[in-house]
Amino acid sequence: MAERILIHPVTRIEGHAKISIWVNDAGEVESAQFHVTEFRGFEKICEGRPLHEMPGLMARVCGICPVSHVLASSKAGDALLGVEVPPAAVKQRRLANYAQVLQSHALSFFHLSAPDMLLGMDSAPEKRNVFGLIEHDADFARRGIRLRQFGQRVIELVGGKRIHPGWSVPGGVQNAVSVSARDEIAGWIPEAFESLRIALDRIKSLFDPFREEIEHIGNFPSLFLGTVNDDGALEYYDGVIRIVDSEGNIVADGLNPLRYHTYLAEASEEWSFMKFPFYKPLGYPGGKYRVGPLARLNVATSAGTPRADRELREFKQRGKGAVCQSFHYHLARLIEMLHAVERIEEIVADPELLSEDVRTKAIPNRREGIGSCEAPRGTLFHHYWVDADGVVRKANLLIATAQNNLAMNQSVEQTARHFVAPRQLREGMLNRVEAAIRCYDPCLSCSTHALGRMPLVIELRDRHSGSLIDRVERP
Amino acid sequence: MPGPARVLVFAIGNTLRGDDGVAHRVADLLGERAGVQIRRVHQLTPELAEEFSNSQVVIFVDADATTDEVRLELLPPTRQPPPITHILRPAELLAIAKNLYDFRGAVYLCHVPAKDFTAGAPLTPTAEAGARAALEAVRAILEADPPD
Repeated sequence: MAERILIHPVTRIEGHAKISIWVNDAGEVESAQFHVTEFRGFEKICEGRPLHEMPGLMARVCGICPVSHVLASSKAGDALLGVEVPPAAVKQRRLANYAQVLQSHALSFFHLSAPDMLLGMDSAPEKRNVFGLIEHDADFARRGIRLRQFGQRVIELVGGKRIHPGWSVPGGVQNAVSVSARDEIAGWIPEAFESLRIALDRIKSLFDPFREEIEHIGNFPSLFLGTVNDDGALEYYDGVIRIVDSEGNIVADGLNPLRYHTYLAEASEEWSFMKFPFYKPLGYPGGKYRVGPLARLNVATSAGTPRADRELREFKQRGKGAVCQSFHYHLARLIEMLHAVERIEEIVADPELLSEDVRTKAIPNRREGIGSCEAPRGTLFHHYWVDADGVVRKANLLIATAQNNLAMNQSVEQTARHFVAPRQLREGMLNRVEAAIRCYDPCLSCSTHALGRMPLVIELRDRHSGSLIDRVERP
Repeated sequence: MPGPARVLVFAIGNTLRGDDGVAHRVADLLGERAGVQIRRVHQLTPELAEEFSNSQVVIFVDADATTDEVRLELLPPTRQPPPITHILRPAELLAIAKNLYDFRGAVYLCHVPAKDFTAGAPLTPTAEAGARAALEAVRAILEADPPD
C-alpha cells in the first residue's frame, strides 16, 4: 500500500501550503504534489465595486507585491476609460514597479533562500532562517535588509505608503513626485549597486557545492513566458509576450497581453485551491510554462542596461538554449535586482518624472478592459467587465504564482525522487523538497482567488480505519 | 528619511478593519511630541529594525483580541523564526535590531483591547476606551524616561 510523507506547512514561503510525497511498496518515491491550502476569493469581492476603487482594492490582494496589482488594475482601468496616460505618470508607475521587484526579490533571496545556500541544506533547521543568517554573516544580512528598505522607501516616496499604496488610478497617478523624494532615491543607488555586486559574487561562488541541487531541483524542459519590449529586451510595464522553449527557440512572439485568454487557459485539480494555467496550443498539462525571473531572462534577448546585460550574457551560458534549472531563479532574481536599480537610476535622472501632469480624467468608455505587467513572480493579468456606470460586473485575475503551478509540482516530484530516501529519511532531504518550491518564491495569498470556481471535495473518514464514509464534491 | 528620535512608537494595524486600527487612534491621541517619532505601519517588516538604531525606547502599540484591558509588556527578544516569513512580530523585529544594529534600549509592547475586526467598522467603545488607557500607559513611559 502506498504511504505518504507529508511536509506541512511548507516554510519560508508566503502563504499556506503542504507537500505530499507518495511512496510505493518498494519504498521508493512514486510521485509528489504541492497543495495550496489557503483560499481568498478576490475576484468575487470585485463584483459590484466602482471601477475607480479597483486599484486601491487590488492593492490589498498582497502585502508583498501590491504595486503589481495596483498597476495591472490601473492599466485595466486606463483601457476602460480609453485614455492615454501622461508620460510622468507612466514613469512613476515604472519606478514603483522596479522598486517592488527590488524589495520583493531582496526578501526572497536574502531572508528566505540565502539561509539554505549560506548555511547549507542539511544545516540545523532552527538555524535556517534570518537569525541564523545574521549569526553567519551579519553584513550580508544587513545588506539584504537595506536593499529591501530601498525598494520599500521608493514605493513610499512615490506611492504614499510602503504596503498597499493606492496612488495609481485609472488614467494616471494621484500626485507628482517631489524634488526631495527624487534626490533621496538617487542617494540610495551607489550602495544598492555595491550590495548587489557582493551578492552576485557570493551566489556564483556557491554553484560548485550546490551542483547536485542545481541539476535535480526543478531541472526539466518547459516553456518560458515573459514580457519583452520592441527590441526583445527585458520589460516590466508595457510590451508584448514572448514564449520560448527549453532549447531557447521562440515558440510565440509579439503576443498581445490584452488577448491572453486566446493563448492561455486554466485547469483545476481537486487537490489544490490554486489553478493550473497552461499554454493553449499545447494543451493541458503539456502546455506547462514557467514565468518570473528565470523565464524573463530566458525570453529576453538583452537586458537593455549595461550592468545587467553583462550578467545576462554570462547567465545565458548556464543553459543549452534556455536555462532550465529552477535553482537559477535565485541568480536570475539578483540580476533582475541589478537591472531594476539601473532603471531606477535612469528614471530619477529624467526631469519629466517631476511633471505635475499626472492624470487624464474620463468617464468609462468601454465595457471590457485588461491590464498586464510583470510582477516579481511573473506576468500578471487583470481583466474587468463593467456596466454602463463603470461598476465591475466580473473580474478575472491571472496571477504569476499560479502560472508556475505545473512547474512547481514537477519540481517537487523531481526533487523528491532524487533526494528523498523514505527508508532513511533525514530532515535535509525534505528541506530540499521545500527549497524546490522556494525557487519560485510563490505568493499563495495572491494566487488563490477564484471563489465558487475551485473544485471542493469534503471526505468523511473513519478516524481509526481511515475508510471512506461519505464524500461531497463540487465540480 | 525620518530623523532620529529617542522614543520610537510603532502604531500597528489596519484602519480599515475596525478595532485592528486602534493603535492608530492611540497615535492620534499622542500627537506630535519632541523626541518622539511615531511610525504608523500596517505590519512589521524586517527593514524597520534599522529605525531602532537611534532610539533608546521603542514602544509597539497593537490591537489584542485576547485582553480586556490595556496591558504593557517589557519585551524580550526572540530567536524563533516567524510563522509567516514576510511579516514579523515585535519580538522578532527586536531580535533583528539587537543582532544587526546593536540596539540596547528598552522595548515595550502595549496590548490594546480589540473586539470587532469587521471591514469598515468604527472603533468599538471597548477599543476607544482602550486607546485612552493606552495613551496613559505610553505617557507613563515617556515621563519615566523623558525624551530630550
